[in-house]
Amino acid sequence: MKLSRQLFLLSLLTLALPWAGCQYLQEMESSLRQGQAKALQATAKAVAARLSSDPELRQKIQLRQSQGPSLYAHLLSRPIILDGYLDDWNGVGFDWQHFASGDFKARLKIGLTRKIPDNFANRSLAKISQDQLYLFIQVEDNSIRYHHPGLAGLLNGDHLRLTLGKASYAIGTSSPGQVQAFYLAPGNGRRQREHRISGAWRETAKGYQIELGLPLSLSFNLNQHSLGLSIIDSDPHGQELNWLGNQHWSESPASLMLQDPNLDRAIAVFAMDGIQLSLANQQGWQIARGQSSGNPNHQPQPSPVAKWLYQQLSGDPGLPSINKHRDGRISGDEVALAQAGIISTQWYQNGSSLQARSAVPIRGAQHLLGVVLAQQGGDIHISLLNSAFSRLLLYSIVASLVAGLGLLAYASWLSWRIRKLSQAADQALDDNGLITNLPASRAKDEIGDLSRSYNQLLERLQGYTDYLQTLASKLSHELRTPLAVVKGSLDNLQQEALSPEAKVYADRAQEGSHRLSAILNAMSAANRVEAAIRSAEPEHFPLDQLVQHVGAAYQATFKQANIKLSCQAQGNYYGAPELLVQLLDKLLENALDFCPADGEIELALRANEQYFILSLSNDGQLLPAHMQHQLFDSMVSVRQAASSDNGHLGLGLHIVRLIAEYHHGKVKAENRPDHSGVIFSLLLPKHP
Amino acid sequence: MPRHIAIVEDEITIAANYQDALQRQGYQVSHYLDRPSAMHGFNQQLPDLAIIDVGLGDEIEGGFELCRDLRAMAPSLPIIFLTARDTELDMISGLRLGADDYLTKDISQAHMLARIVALFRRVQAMQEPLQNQAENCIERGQLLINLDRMHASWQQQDLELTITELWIVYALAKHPGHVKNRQQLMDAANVVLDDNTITSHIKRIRKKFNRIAPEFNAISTAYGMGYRWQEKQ
Repeated sequence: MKLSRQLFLLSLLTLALPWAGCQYLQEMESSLRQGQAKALQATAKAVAARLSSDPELRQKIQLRQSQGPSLYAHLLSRPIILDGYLDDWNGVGFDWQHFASGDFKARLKIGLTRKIPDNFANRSLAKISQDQLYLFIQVEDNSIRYHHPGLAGLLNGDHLRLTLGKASYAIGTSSPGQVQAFYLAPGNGRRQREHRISGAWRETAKGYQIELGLPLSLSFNLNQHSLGLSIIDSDPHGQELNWLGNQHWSESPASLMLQDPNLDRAIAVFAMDGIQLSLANQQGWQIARGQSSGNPNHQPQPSPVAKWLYQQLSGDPGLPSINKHRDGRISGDEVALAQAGIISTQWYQNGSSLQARSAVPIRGAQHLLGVVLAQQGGDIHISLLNSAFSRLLLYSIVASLVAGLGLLAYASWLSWRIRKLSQAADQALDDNGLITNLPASRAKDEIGDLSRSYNQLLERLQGYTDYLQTLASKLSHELRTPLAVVKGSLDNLQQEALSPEAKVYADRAQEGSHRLSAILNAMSAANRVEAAIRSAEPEHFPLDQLVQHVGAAYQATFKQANIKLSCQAQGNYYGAPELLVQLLDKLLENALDFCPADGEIELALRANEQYFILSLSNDGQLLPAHMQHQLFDSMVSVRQAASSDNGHLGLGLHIVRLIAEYHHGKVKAENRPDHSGVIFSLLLPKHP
Repeated sequence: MPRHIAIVEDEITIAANYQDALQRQGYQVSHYLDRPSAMHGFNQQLPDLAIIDVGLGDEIEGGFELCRDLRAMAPSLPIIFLTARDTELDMISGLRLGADDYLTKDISQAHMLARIVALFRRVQAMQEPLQNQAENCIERGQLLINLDRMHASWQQQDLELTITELWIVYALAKHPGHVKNRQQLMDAANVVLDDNTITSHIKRIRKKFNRIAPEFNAISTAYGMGYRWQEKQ
């Protein structure tokens, strides 16, 4: 894998940034939640303290404790038209209260409208002169009996009994339509028409439904509201057959629970910033409610995506969902705990958002009076986290991008440098084994170090190569003095009277020293050629003529060899002819050594646009592939050791190279394409 | 009175070998190990011929210095450099300092002696007036070589050839038009050299001719074979 790709993959690690950010956001969210819960609790505590410290309010709460099977009147936002139809009640947002006894079933909704004072501020609202209580009762009854005026009894058909405070009322009708309400005087059974209670009776498929309206003040008794409702099913004789309701009319009525406007006002001042306050009595009925007047979601509504992300972030699937049941009671673990006197806070999952509820008990003089419940949505967090999250996302993407691009650029730069270095290292040794110096980098990093050590390595290699190249001449120089001693001594020995046996040995020693001397001469030849090259003076001369002369000379000198001459080019060349002849001598020497007895040697001169090509090819042994480049180095020989009777040191072709380089030419050794022999070519540039 | 030859050589065995060989020929030989002792000896008595090594003990080029001093003391004293240093540069500097010949140490004693004889002959001929016209001379155009005097001239001007060069010129001029290959030239010059050294000798010889006559081209190269003396047509 390329370095740049590796670093690119590495840069993907920066994607851990958003993850870390998410972790941070989660922590932030949980601390926000904690903070919110604390604040909520503090608010609830403040409310509870306020309520329990004010004796008047305490009294009011005390009065709101319920007795018996209480009913709850929900606050309605607008008055109900008493027409016996359910339309008005649809969407009031609270539940039916069910009663059943066998097939005889009923369900009930109780609503309440507060009086709206007729003043300028309320000019647009419908005028309601007093607090009004509404009841809607649906009864399943397979035999509807209406009041029969002809029969005896107060109301001899199916009818309602209401116990309001101490008074008892009977409500019935003789036909669907308007109902009639009667006040029943206690004890004597006298009845009296009550016009403040009005309503309508409608028949339904399964039974009938009654809509009732009455002033709230009717239920007021001894500072408390009370309501007993019983639906009476009559038999054909007008006798009570069965009843449904919270309490039979013969008993004293149970409490009617409703929101106390005074308490509402008392806690409304605490309701702000989307905090919803509720006050429940010890039995759990909601007796006051406070809501901040403004829109609690004054921040822009978070988008569904943000909500989803928030949910993923704060993802606590263990949260219970909020109790949607609305029957006037406030329920929940925290409320139960508060009713037992323990302050607690609970988080709820409310659809896609969270909701915190904090419950605090209200302490009276001797016992607990009720519970303050503060409730606040987590939407604040959503928008807060949303903006934090989107910023985090933006920043981390930008950071990832910058880091990725930076790493990519850095990797490209790095690999460019490494590539450059490796190219330089590749080219440092050319085909001829010549070392060109590597430019030493000045960078202070590891690649710079590497380049410098390459440079140093090549310098040392160069030094070593130089040493090897001059070794031969140094060696010959050093050996010359002891050889002179040997030769001088042998010469002297020749003059002494030696026995014939000794003379043989002396002659052999003499011969050996001659050979040694020849070898030493050959060894320093390269050096002398270099000296000759330095002092060579180039001149213009006809190259074809030189080749022809040399060829003729070779043919004459080496009669035993089959030397062919082919001169296909003409022209003057600017160079040192003696050196070129020497070069050809060396090549010929080489060719003669390798050419078999019946082989052919060809000396040829050709030309192309750039070069004169002087080539000498011979039949015979092919060059080993791996040696083709080194052949022209000093002291490299492909000759078999056995064949070296004349002391070949591998300097001949080195001299060839030196001369070729002097002429800015190139020398190549190749096998013939048909593998019948080898061909040495010298390329001499026409215009050096 | 035997001729006196001084050998200045730091290698005792080599010096002893030459001393023996020369003494066998009837020369009187003195051997000096280094430059100061040699100068001391030369100051007392000049030898008839000096054989000097270039490197003398610690002095790498002591021989060159000695040659310069000796040449100053005796302008016509034959001086031969005998050294292991065979580079062109050393050879040229040695000859420029006025040496009569420059030999490498692997030269055989016979060749060495031939040279010494030739040099003495040259010295003697210089000292003696021209006595007899039947001296061993050859004349090729403007070239005149007197082998007895070891002397060559071109257009009546002295060529100042070393013994080796003189023998090479002689070998070429003796048979004009004949190509002499390198081996033949080496044999004639009593040296064992490689091809390059012959080439550089020829080059130096041409330069010496050119100094007198820039248009000189009598010595021509026969590529691949050798050299020949070309009479002017």
